[in-house]
Amino acid sequence: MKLSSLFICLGLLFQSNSLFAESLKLNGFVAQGIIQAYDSNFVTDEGGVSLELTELGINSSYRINPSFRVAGQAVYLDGGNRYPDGFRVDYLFLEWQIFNKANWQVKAQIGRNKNYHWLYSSTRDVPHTRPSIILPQSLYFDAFRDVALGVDGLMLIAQTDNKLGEWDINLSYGNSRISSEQTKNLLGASATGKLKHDSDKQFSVYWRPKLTNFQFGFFITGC
Amino acid sequence: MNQIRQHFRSMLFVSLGCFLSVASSADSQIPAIRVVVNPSVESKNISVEQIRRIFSMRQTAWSNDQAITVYVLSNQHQTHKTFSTKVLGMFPYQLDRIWNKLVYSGLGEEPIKVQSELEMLERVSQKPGAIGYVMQLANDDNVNIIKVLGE
Repeated sequence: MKLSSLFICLGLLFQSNSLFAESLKLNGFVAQGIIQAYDSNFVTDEGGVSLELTELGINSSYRINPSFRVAGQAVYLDGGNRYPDGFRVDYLFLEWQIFNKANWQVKAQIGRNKNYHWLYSSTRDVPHTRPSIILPQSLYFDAFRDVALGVDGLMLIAQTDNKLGEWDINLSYGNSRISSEQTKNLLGASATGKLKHDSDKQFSVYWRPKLTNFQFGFFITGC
Repeated sequence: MNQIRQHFRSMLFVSLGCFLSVASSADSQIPAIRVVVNPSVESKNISVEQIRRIFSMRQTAWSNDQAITVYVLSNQHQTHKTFSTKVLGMFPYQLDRIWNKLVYSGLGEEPIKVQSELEMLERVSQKPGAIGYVMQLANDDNVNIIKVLGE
């Protein structure tokens, strides 16, 4: 599969200003691309030039008090054959700041969480946060995206800083809904029945050595 | 289902990100950037690592547990460019990436943007725990200067 070099991506970002109180934040994005995958049904059945690269989103974060915050993002996505198009709640959770010291932060998010375990998984549908128009399919395989977006469940995040540098530790528990189109993308067009994702645990650690721009990490998942 | 489980079990990533930066924090030539804090902040000085953590919204509390409120100027503002490269040792776009990731993944909040140095001084002087930066500083501004200690 070859992606055409013809890519026009129009993007618009907006964010709240002083109209809102400091505890309420509002941000969003609008992006429309033109895409072509020659000799491939990756985007369209015919492999022609397509506008099926639309990404819209709006998010908000409201800090109730220093310990609790609610955050959510709704998106409209159209990626052609890559995934089912439409609106979805990308994330919506209550965040509890369990511990907040100068060198340690621990927080829990309950609800629909993003996948914070991979480098770009938490913002894979947000065009201006990705290094490419479409993320590399070797890792961010669209046929497998429903379970890679995040989980409905619990996320625990710890961040600490010591002499070696900055450390991020993430643990998530929950499951994801798998759409029927995803089932067909994964198992073939003749797949019948429903594909369900059992609750699983995922764990990752990232380390950024002090005052460098290097990042090392590993990720483990298990049912 | 078993197929998926197998796939999941076999997923183990070791990722290595390498983002080279040529920005240098060593240059201490004028024009001088003053890092300013609300008078309620007890700390008198701060390390480069710490100020990087604060402006990348990673550290959100002072060492006495007081909440930090971060104010920044727009990316185009010369003071922001100078602060970012000379004090933090990062390009403005690198900070932007960090903030975007926080905002669009829900993981955190971005700093509060102000329009001018005057507004910066006013907001920092009013909000307990606040931090910001300016180039122009008058004697009657109700803020404290915090010293950034070199590496």
